[in-house]
Amino acid sequence: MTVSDFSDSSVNPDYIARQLRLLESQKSELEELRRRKGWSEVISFLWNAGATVANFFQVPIPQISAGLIQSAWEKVQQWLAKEKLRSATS
Amino acid sequence: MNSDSLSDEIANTVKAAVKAEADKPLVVAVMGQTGVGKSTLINRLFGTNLKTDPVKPCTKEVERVVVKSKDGSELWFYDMPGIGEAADVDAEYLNEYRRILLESDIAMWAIHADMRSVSFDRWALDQIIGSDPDEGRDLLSRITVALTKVDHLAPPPWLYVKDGESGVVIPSEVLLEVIEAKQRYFFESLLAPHAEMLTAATYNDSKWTLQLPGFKYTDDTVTYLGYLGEAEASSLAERYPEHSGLLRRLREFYSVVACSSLLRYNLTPLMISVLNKLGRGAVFRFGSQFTDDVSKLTIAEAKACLNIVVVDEGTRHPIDDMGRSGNKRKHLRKGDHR
Repeated sequence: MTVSDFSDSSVNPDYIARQLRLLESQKSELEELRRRKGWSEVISFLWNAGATVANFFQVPIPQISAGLIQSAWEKVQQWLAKEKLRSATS
Repeated sequence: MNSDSLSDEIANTVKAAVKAEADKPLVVAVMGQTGVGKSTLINRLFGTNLKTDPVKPCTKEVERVVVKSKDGSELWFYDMPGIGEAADVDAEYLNEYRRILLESDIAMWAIHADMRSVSFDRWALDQIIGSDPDEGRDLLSRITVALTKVDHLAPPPWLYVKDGESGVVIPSEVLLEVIEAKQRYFFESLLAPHAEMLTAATYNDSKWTLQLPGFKYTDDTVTYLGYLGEAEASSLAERYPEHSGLLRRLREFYSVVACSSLLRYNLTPLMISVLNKLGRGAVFRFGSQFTDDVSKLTIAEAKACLNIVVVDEGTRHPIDDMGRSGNKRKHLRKGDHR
């Protein structure tokens, strides 16, 4: 069967193009949501771990923020990549 | 104590916490009346192979089905008995539903899209939510309402947009209007009565710092207490166009999602809704069960479905009519069919 078997007005190409764009944007949104939710979870784990460690070593929280969290974050990122969990957080 | 050992300590604690979360099973429960296609929906979303029967109800008591994925992670699916078969067992089932809902990472409420009456589902949902507002809020925050089997809706056809050996299915314009009307109807009937218990949240990608009634924000997240209606969201988007994407996501947070397991239609929005409502840590478990191409349908699968017009992705013109070979299509444009 070919295109000529259909009425020319049967399917609206603009409508199909809009629907395909919508599908693409939904896929991107799903990926973005996964990435951001994973990322915010890791940050939350980092913060809680930082607080736990600060308590354990009895150091004030400000001393373990910024640079140390950044360094720990990079190590976690490397590990996530190795564990193939990165798609949720990269 | 040096800073390196301290950062190692933090990193190791986080790694252990993430691994512990990722190693737990992802717990999924789907509620709804008999025959709405609960097991089929899970099979499509997570690539499982749960038992389904098109005639008789398969699930008579709560059954925990453990599905192992290739990487060894587990998905626990609570196959729930369909409600609405017999009044005397419904009350017992609803208590069980409530208990399992509280234990689940993902909870879906499935309703047959061709259902006209919503009173039974509304009653059942009200029973499950209960009278405690805090508990009701917690339970509602976990539920995604899915309208299943939209392939049963008239008028057909569906359009299969072919791309290589597979493709995606989209509704005709006329059918899309019907689907959107159904989504609004079920939202208004089921969720709108509980609007004051709803809380939508999304990521703050547009640097929201507006102090507006009902909104809360951090650098990462914007939250709306209540349900953000279409009129209010549109009005805000007009005033603050830089936040239109964020406002749309907040508005869609509790949307009823119409879908078809058979045609794999709208499964991505369903996944978005599910992911939005995942509790703490569950995103790592979700990640290991995640199926990338939930909306893809092979040509062979599409050929098994009737009333599909095949459209070439490049030209966007019809190239085949699987359901009614030889018939010319009419009445497919918006407004032509009434």
